[in-house]
Amino acid sequence: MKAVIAIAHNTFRESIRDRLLYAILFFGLLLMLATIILGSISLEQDVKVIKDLGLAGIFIINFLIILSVGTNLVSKEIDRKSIYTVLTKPIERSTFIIGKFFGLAATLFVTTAIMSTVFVAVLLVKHAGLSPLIFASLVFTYIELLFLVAIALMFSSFTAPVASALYTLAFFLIGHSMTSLTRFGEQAGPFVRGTITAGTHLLPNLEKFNIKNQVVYEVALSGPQVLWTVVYAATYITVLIIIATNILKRQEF
Amino acid sequence: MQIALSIRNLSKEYTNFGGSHRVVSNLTLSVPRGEVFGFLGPNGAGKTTTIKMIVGLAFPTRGTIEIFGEPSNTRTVRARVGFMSENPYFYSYLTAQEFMLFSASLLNLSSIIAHERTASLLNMVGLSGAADQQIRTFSKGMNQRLGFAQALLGDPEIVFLDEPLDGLDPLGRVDFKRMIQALKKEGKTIFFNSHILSDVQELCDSIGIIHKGKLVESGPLTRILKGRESLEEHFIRVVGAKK
Ligand SMILES: Nc1ncnc2c1ncn2[C@@H]1O[C@H](COP(=O)(O)OP(=O)(O)OP(=O)(O)O)[C@@H](O)[C@H]1O
Ligand SMILES: [Mg+2]
Repeated sequence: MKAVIAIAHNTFRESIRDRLLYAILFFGLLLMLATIILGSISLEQDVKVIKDLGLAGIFIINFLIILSVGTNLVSKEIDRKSIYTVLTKPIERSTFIIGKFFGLAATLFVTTAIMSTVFVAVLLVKHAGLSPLIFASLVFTYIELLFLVAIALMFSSFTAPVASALYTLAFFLIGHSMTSLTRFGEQAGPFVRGTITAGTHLLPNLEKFNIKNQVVYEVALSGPQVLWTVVYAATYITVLIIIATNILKRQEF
Repeated sequence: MQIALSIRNLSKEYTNFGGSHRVVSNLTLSVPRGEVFGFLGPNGAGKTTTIKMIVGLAFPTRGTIEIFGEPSNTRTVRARVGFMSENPYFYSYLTAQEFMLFSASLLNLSSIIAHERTASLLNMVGLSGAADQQIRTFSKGMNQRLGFAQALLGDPEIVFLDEPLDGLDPLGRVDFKRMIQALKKEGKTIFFNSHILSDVQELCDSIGIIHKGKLVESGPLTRILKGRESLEEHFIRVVGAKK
């Protein structure tokens, strides 16, 4: 446990001392402020536009952090050999993976919190009213980010950063196309339909975390919806971490 | 006499597109507890590969490695082992002190012991003044010193050092030799490799020479040299003849 915390803390500390993080975050804060201007251009619609763009902006900025930092999590340590000093200590390789996951999760928690604060401030300035759904949506966004961290971490344990970034992006795109994929499958022949059905059950369905429409149209969340989403994410993340651990266990340096 | 390290019939093959090639070949070797052992061989002989297998970074194709009579790849054994890699690299955004404390948590040391040992080891390797400096600003020799300090953090009974003298200035080398001798006095076993044979001759009780993955010679230094030649002369004669 101590080792997991140490690795997570170290990962967090390394990432927040990286200038790249600040560049991305700065861009994100600009984006938040830009929503005010974009909101005012669209007259009546401004609150809706601010909510839409703000939530999307928070997600995109953190996703960029995952694509740049997350896809490096393991491969950078292998490249630079810093992993040598860690794995030769009396710890399991799973400890390393779990620590990495929580380390980036902590970084994203901080960046999400900073951006959310600005977002909420913008809403307050615009007298937009803060429904609990806004906060629910931020939580869901964070859960989806954790999901993507686990995916990036898994790829990072066996491929180079650029490839992991592309694969993670592919997972993200597929994960948000589940509805259209299913619809496409319904019209196709039995073989394609079977493949798609299997695929949609196996691949992560990231649409589950997207409640932006519910936020904008003020449709309340149900208890079971929240519970199932959390269980779904936790299960999937656990499986991804187990896969990443097994990949790392077979690695030689 | 207790055996600290026992390697039996160890082989390592790497397979790539051109087929497999053997990097370490049927290596058998043992090091008694409390000895300083020098592992010598020309570039590419398989020294780093052997050390990586001992500390669990690479997996043997065949053969066994035991440390104090137990398989070397267990957590309990790793807790008794110190390791410093070739050209060590550490987290560039951490300070030397932070890195040592981080390593201490991986060794499950209590906070008090971690701070005590960090201070005394950084002092010992001459990095006290740089304790709060980020590692990315370190020179090669400073990195090397930090690597050595880190290897001793868990108070290991046996230490594996891959080219510890590389990048050290003459004073650094003198310091290092003194530290090795101090560790030997404490009863620790030291296994290291180096191309600086005069230093090896000064420090080691025994040596092993590996060439193209095969152990060509091993034993107590006095027996190998018989007082007739320097280690350097001997090495050139033995390895040169095989080229
Ligand atoms: N991962 C790997 N895949 C394929 N071949 C490898 C790998 N690692 C090492 N080798 C090969 O194994 C041989 C021995 O390498 P090793 O690093 O053990 O040599 P060394 O004795 O430490 O040399 P040096 O004194 O230069 O450090 C070399 O021919 C090297 O190319
Ligand atoms: Mg080497």
